[in-house]
Amino acid sequence: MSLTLEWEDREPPLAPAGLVAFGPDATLLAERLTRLDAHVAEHLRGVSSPLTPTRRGEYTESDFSLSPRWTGVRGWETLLALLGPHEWLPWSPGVIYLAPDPTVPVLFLPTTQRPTVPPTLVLAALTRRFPELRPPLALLPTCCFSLADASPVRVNQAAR
Amino acid sequence: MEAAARLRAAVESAASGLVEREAVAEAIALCAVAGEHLLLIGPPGTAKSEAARRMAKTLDGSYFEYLLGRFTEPSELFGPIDLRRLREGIVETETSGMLPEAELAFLDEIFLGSTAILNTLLAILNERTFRRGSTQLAVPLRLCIGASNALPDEGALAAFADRFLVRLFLDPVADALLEDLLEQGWNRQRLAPEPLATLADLDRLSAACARVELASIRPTLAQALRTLRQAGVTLSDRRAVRTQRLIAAAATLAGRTEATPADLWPLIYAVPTRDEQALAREALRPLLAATENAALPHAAEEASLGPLARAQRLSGGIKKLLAAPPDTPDALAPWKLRLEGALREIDAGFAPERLPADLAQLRQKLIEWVRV
Repeated sequence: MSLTLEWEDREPPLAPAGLVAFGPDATLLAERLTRLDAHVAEHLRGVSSPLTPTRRGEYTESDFSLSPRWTGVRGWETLLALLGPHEWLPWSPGVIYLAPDPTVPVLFLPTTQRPTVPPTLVLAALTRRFPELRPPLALLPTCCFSLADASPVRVNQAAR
Repeated sequence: MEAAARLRAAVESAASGLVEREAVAEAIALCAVAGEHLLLIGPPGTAKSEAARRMAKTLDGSYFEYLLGRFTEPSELFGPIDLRRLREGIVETETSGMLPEAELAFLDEIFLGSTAILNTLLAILNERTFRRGSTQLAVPLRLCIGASNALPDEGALAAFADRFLVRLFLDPVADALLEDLLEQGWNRQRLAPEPLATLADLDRLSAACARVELASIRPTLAQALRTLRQAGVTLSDRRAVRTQRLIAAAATLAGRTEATPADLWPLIYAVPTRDEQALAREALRPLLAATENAALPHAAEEASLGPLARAQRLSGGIKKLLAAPPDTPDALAPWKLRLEGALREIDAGFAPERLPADLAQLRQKLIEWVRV
């Protein structure tokens, strides 16, 4: 079965509970983490590449034809995602803030967007199509990846 | 209008000593101009009384505050019986310095009051009249702020609570703001607010509020009320009618003599319960997206959760932050953290293509400072 996943603005936006940066932005974010106070870092958990993000174009007969509307994702060399309460999340150029969908908390979405399809159906389709990705999952219009391996952030290792 | 500017300064001064209570100070101003009463619902220790006290100081009004309990006597609020007159067989109350002479009042745990207290309060709130025995006075009360941990379930108390048109639900300060909370709390005595506006300003604004043209907005308000009913949120007819005063006050404080769709956000505060307020926001989302108020940005955003109000509140906060760069090297790092917090709020709150132009410019300035 083929399903086209369209996205719409979410208003009001969700309070962020995570963020992700790709490519050069991930490098900038990692540098930012090295300057975080330890008491801030202890509120954060992170995952970084190598991951197996599922990308548009990787599957010719993909379950999802992902909307190209989102322009914030650049490059695929590296990926760095953080989870934590919104007050403790850092800012860095190019990061995309994420939040769990209120009805499906294991599905993290951009704070300002949501799929037009009900999130329960989206999660069911994702887990069927990509069984190797363990929840919680993060879904952006251009990719999906697992946050299951998020582990405490060690500030002095983040930049390596 | 100069009075509006002075009231805005008073609100800012009152809120500056508190953390995350800007919307409370602004709601007090809105209610004071509208001539309506405010109910603050939240756990103990959430600065409800402090916000009221600070607003009373900045407005330079006579202020009465009391914590009610099950055994509070009416005389503790309204004054003792005049014994000399009692000997003459006349029951008269000596009201000097008590609630009937207050211009602003804060009554904590208001629903614990006895029937005798609540009945007397009802006349004060509704008719601005104090009646007890032979005593009958017109009271100068502009605004009564009631506070409670929760809304009452009992029918009789719910009917009393209905007299408080505006409902604000408060939560404790967020974890990450605890440092700010401690610092502000420590400095509060030193930074006591000065009177910046007067009750005469308030009266001028109330008079302007009464003259606001509402005819063009009334069909939109009626449609909003119908939408709420369809969503299962019912405002009593009394609340629906009186909401117009809040809308007129919002327009007045925004500098408008005719209410526009931008002024409809106070409708949310007239919805009685927290759950219903959330439902109302959802049901009225398209309408609320167009609401804003530059003079009451926090209250407008908290009510509407709309993008315009959010952008306005963020812009105001960022301009203030950028206008006061630190003058010592030690203060630079905490200041830059605040700038980053503002950047986080912008980027988490607006998709890049939806970012308003003026906020985009401010974002750029923030980035330049963060990189210094």
